[in-house]
Amino acid sequence: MARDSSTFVVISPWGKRLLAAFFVIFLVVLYLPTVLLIIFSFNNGTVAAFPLEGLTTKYYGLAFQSEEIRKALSASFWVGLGAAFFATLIALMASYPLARRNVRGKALISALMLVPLVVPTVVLGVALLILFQRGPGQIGLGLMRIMLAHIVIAIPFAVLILLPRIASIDRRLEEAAYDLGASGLQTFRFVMLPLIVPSIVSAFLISFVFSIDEVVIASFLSSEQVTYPVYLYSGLKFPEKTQTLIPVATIMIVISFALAFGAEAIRRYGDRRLVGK
Amino acid sequence: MDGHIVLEGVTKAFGENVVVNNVDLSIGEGEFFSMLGPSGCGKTTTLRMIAGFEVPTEGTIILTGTDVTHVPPAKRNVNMVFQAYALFPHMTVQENVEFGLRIKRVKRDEVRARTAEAIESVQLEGFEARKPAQLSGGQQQRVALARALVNRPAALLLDEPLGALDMKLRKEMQHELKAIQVRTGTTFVYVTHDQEEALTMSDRIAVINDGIVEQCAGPREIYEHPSTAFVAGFIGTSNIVNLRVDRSVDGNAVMDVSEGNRIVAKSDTKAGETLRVTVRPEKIHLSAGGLGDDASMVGGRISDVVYLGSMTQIMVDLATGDSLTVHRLNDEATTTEAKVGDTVTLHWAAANSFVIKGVSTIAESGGDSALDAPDNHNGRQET
Amino acid sequence: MATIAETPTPPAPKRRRSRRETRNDGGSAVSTYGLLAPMLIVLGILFLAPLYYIFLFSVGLKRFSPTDALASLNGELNAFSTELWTKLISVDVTVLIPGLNFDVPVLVVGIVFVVLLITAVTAGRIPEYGSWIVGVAFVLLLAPFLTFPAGNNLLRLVEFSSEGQYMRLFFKSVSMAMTSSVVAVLIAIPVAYFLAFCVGKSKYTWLLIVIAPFLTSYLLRVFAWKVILGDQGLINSGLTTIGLIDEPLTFLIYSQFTVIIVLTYAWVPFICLPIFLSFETIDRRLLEAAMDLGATRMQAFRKISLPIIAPGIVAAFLFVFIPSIGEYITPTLVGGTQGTMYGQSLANQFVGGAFNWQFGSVMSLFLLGIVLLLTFTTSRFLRAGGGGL
Repeated sequence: MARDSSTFVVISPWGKRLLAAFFVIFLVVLYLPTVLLIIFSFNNGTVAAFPLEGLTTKYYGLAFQSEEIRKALSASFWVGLGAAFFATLIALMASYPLARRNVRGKALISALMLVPLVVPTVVLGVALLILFQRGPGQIGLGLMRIMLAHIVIAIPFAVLILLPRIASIDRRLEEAAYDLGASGLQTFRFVMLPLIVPSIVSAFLISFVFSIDEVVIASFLSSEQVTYPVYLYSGLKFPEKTQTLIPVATIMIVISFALAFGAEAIRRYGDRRLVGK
Repeated sequence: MDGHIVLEGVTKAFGENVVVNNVDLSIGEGEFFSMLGPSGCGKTTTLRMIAGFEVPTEGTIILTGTDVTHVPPAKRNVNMVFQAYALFPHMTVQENVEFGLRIKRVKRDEVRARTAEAIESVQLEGFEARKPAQLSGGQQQRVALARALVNRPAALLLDEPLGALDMKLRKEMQHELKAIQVRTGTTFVYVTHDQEEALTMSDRIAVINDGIVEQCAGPREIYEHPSTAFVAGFIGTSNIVNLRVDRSVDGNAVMDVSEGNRIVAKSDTKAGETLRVTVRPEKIHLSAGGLGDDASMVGGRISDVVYLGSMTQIMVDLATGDSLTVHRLNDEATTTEAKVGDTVTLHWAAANSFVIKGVSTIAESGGDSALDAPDNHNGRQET
Repeated sequence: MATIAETPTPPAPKRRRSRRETRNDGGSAVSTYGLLAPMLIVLGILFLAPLYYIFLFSVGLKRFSPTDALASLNGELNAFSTELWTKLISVDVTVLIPGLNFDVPVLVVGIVFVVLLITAVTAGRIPEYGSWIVGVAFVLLLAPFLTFPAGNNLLRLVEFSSEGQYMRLFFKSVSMAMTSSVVAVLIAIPVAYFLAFCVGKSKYTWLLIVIAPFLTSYLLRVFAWKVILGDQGLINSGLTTIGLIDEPLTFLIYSQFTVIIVLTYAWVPFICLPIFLSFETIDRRLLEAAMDLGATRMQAFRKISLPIIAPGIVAAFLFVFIPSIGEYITPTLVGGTQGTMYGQSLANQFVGGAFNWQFGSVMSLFLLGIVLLLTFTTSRFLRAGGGGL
């Protein structure tokens, strides 16, 4: 690919200015809702509407005094942590043979693994609701069930991050390790693992971010204790409750941004380490 | 058969595709042994079977007297230098080199001593703390060597180790590799498609084509007495002529081309049969006569002259319809300049005509010279 | 010593060893499938089993009520029946080309649809006008599925008759999803183009800035739009303040229009990625060569860039369209009564007022079937565009 700075062949100077203007407007509109949300978190009124009725931080205080919010946040955190951990672990185990070995029915397994990505969440939600309530065993609902459901959807995310990285690592590195006397486990521990750690972290963070934001399945499967998105969702339906929700929402958004940029930074760091491979 | 590494009837098939076909080899201790052939000929697969990465479909591999056919690579006392080196990118030079010893839980003092010794033997002192990405191609190559040699393997297996280097560095590394091999006395099994590399470094060469060992001999033998048409064509430039035996004189088969013109080869073959004969371009003389009655002598016209620096390549069309390539050194003795259209007489000693086996014509991929010998010499038979 | 094998055919490998593994790479079949097992078990129990149960519910083999008596009281099926399926898929099509209004049998619509589809796929081979025919076929194929603004509301060119209540709702959802996908792609193309070609080295950072909002809470972004579009929101209060309007614009919130805007907004950042990646694969030298041979910039784009990025564009479109058809959160929060979608009605059968698990299962399977059909017929494009996921 040509990497020169000349843009002559792809766009005229005026076209470029036009596109730049479009891009600026696009970014403004893209970030406008987030910025508004941050502004409204300091709004000294009861409804989120213009004009602002003065600035205050009292809702931040109220939000953190709320037992309900604290419980919902901690529920989300643990569900997200569990889902991210198990999804990453399971995806890591599955990615390795899919990338390296001759697996019979590889196409079928890959398809089965990726299908949860396109299944409408509302369908998966009701399907799991039926399974947990009317399936064999009838294990009921609750946070554990939400975590299990999130694992199913987080696995393909994690595999899509891990599998290409594992496949991109030169097979001969592993052969070199075997050749020098290492067992399969030692080869994984000393050669493969250090090279894919950034991708593992990245897969974990993406799974976590997905889980702490997932609302559809969680709302179908939650019982008395809800996760934070479910709490938020039920709160948003009642305008009088929203003002106490916005401060926490703002903090969550900031955390999400931090995680997203963090995951990307880690991925880039991993890429840099492999340069010259 | 006995030897350091012995392959008996080794065959490897991937599905229907037979890559290595019934190969028998015996490699001696301390030998620099090369497997030479075009890409896809099965030489790398053979090497990987010795290393243990592939299990033969048929046959046995014996390493220092033990059958290792089904022993995994980790348990074989051979080490490999990979194409593109396969250095662990996240480890320093030091960590790369000591990897094998650490895995084998060698004592710490010994690890340190042997690693230092290996790094010294490839002249990389001072680079211990660097990562592979911070090294040049040649330096990476040395790390790969040290990483393998530090384990004191019974044999070192090298898979096109110089393939990634540029021409100049390649030449340097050829000498260095050979020096290291001589110094350590390790058996080297070296896979390459570069005939020059094989000829300069090896004690013995196995020329492999289509999964079959065409010839296995020393470099001089391979070059001067190629035993099959493939070998003749793959190693250097070569002329192949069909020789219909008209008469047999003193153990020489002679074909009379015309009055005073003849082609002679050492062979007991009786009159009436046809032989395939090869002659190296530099063995053919352009000057007039004087090689004796048992020498070949044919007249022809120069059809092409190509200046190649140290020598000139001249193509001569014979009256028989064949065409021969002749190499003439551009030294002071070469006074006359060859011109297209000149009529010349070619001479070569009977000892330089070799009867070759095999019925195939030279493979298209054979040899690295675009100016290769003409590949069709049956004009005379058909007239 | 070397022997020269003269025989060209190898000895046939003995069967005895044929099942033995041929690579010594430290991995056995046991470890291979052992590593895959946890994923297969999780998917089996938590993905395939639920779908199987949904199927049982949809044909009356399972029911919500604990006893047969209760079931018949609640109007549930007790034995195998396709009754609910028939109830869902009972359709008639009304074509609503502005001014005209006539009924067409489903069969005719189906045939026209298939003919257009075949034309769109195959007409490219016709010389000279081929690309125009493909274009027209595509537009005719898409148009019925799009919504167009008409006054304070949105208009569709084709409508299902009101007897097929659920099909009507489904079709409405499809057209809303389709419209927001098309708009999202149209916005994402120039953005991706700008990023790929005009910003130089910092383009990956800018790309991340574009994508980052996608990774933040979906709920909150939807909610923020409520703040913008609401009756007392940014736009209405702003317009009232400067005196342009006296009454708030009601179509801004709780309408199909709002749902389409929010869906578009939510997905644009994400689909910039596949489109950007397909622009990245264009070798600039190809464009230089085309212009050197006399093509204008526009011709070079049409003849060279467009065919290269086409799979990425289709993939991007599907990335929005597939999740949008079954959308549930957005219409609930900003759709009001006008903007209801199929997903809401579906959820309503389970956790809302309708409370009919069996019919809800039928609705779920129908939606799932359409989505999977769409995914598999277009998986080639999805793979081409999914490289960046």
